[in-house]
Amino acid sequence: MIRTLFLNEWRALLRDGRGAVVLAVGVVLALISSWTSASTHARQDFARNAATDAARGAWDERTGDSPHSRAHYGDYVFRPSGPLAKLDSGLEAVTGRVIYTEGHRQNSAVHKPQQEAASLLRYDRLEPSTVLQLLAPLVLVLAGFGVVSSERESGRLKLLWLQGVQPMALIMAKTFALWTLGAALCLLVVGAHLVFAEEIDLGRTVVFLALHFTTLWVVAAVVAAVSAWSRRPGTAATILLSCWVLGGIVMPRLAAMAATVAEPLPGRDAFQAAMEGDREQGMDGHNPRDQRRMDLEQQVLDEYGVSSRSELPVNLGGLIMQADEEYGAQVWDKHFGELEEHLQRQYSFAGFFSFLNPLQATDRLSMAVAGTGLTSHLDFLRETEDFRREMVRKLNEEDAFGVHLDANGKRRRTTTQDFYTGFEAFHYEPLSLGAQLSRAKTDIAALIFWLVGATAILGMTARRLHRGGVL
Amino acid sequence: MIELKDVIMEYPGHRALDGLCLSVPDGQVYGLLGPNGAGKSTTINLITGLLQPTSGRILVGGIDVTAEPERARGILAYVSESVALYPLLSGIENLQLFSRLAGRHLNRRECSECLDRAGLQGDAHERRVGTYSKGMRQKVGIAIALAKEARAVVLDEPSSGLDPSASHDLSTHVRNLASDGLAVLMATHDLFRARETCDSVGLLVNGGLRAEWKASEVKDRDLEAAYLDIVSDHSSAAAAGSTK
Repeated sequence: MIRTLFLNEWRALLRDGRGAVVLAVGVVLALISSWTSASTHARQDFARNAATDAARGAWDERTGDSPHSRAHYGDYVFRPSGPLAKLDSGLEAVTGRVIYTEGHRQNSAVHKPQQEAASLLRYDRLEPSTVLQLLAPLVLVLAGFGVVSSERESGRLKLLWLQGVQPMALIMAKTFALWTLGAALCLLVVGAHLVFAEEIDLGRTVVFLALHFTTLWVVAAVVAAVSAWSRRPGTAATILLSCWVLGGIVMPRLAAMAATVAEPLPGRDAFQAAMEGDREQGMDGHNPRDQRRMDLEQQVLDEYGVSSRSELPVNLGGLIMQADEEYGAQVWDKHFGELEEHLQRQYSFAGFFSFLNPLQATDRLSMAVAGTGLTSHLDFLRETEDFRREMVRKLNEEDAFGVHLDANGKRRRTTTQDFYTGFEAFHYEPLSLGAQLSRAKTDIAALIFWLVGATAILGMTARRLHRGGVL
Repeated sequence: MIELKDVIMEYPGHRALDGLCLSVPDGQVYGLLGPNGAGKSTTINLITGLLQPTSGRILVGGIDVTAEPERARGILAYVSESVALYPLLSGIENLQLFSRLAGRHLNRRECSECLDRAGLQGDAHERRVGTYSKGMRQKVGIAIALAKEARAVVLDEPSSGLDPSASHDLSTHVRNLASDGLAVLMATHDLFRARETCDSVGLLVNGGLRAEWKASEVKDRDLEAAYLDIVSDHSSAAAAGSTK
């Protein structure tokens, strides 16, 4: 019976043009969104690779620098696109994919607008995830608001009832038909992505599909239920469009605003001032009259048993710079750690809104699967900082120990060009899918809650139809 | 056979049926007359199982509609005033779909035969139902009843809005259903069509059956005058009761 009703629903979808229009629009959207996304990323990747090569070339070709000068040379490191960034670029547009690294200069900002969680929204560009998370639900609303209410309004529901149709079979068939329409759209979009993709992460793609299939089932169930509870199709359309506006546009912003109010982040200036305040408690490697610097100098002289810097077999400047760097790293760890905790609390707070809005749960999980969410960005920052510290440590050590005293007691540098060209380029390995999902437990729980809830609503709707809701 | 035994149906603050007793034997057409609000639609909704009575029993083919609704629906067909079909499907496709839902898998030829028996002209079988007239849709409704091999049929205002020719045609096919042994209950405002089509006629006023006539009696009496007298009396009584 479900099969008969399901096939009939699809026949109606195709004959009255709804299905054809949806699929045609789906093809167009899939192609446009995948192509624009792929070309944008291709452009960015090209620029990134060119810039990386240029920076590396410049690094290798520079001559005559001391390690200390190299530490100040500074460089941009580029984050590769998330594994499924072409499907869902997530927060990349906000956070960017480039970080400037330089000795003694830790990256202070987690991302540019660090105090504005509300800006971590990205429904302003057409990419595959926008089509799937915002437009596909709208398509289901438009195609399905009348699936049951129009049957009632026309009187067909009564005839179907008399023919022995079980309300549960009816509601399931209608939901399943709507869901397959959404799933077809989903397959078109992901299929188009696969066509344009240069490399494919099959595991993540399958999880991405499963995530959106789940969401579309929830949406289809809600659409069918609202249609069944509404006396007229117009009422159902009004309710469902209102839900779509709330879930797709209003609530994500509301959640972000609420999180910002509940867990306000320090402003950029305040954050910077706090960092600099703490930094000043350390030593100033560039100021020869700094007391802490003089203390360290004395300590090193004592260690080597000499009375002046000129007698040292090492370059004191390098040791001072490394001590300064290590103190700066502690300050950075403290402030960045606090900021990260703050951001995580803010993100977790906003996560509870996923229990009110399945589209938000999907949005956040989609970014996690694509490797383009907040977790990925914070991980990238940490990796970048680790890379910077290691690079600066090596340079400072070379600055300190890459010298010898010649026969005249004059200190000569022994650093060769091979030392610089031997530096490994920054390579970022994205977090694994498991690691990403393990940090998105709230959203997974919310989506399961919606899946179970929406299916339960179908059962309640069927019972209502059974108890006189046919009339 | 369709039987209603002492059926009471109450809505909040209103009793729609007040101990209704009614019987439609197999092979007979019963015309249920009555003014608006008399309880005809409630009676039909009770017989079709869409509503459950406050008390009393409703039997279709001997099956208690309240106790065994699915079995009862299995042998009951319903033809509404404006038969609601899928407009984008042809007559055959509609019949095939509704039959399949009732558990009967008819091929196109069998569907076509059913539509022929219901009086739908052959050239319309493959046309989309959206192009059908009201009378043609009712013929598909009758074909659905035939395909289902129902033992009882309920028709709700079937002649409303039909031209005299279509209405006459409908009467013929309703009579054919009875000839096939089905019990047919027809709720209508059309006194003329009731006299023409039915074996018995009952007059429902204020939730109760106020008069019943056999076919032979119906032919002999001025049904319209009797209808107006009875309705007028009960309306006055009801008004007086509510004034008190």
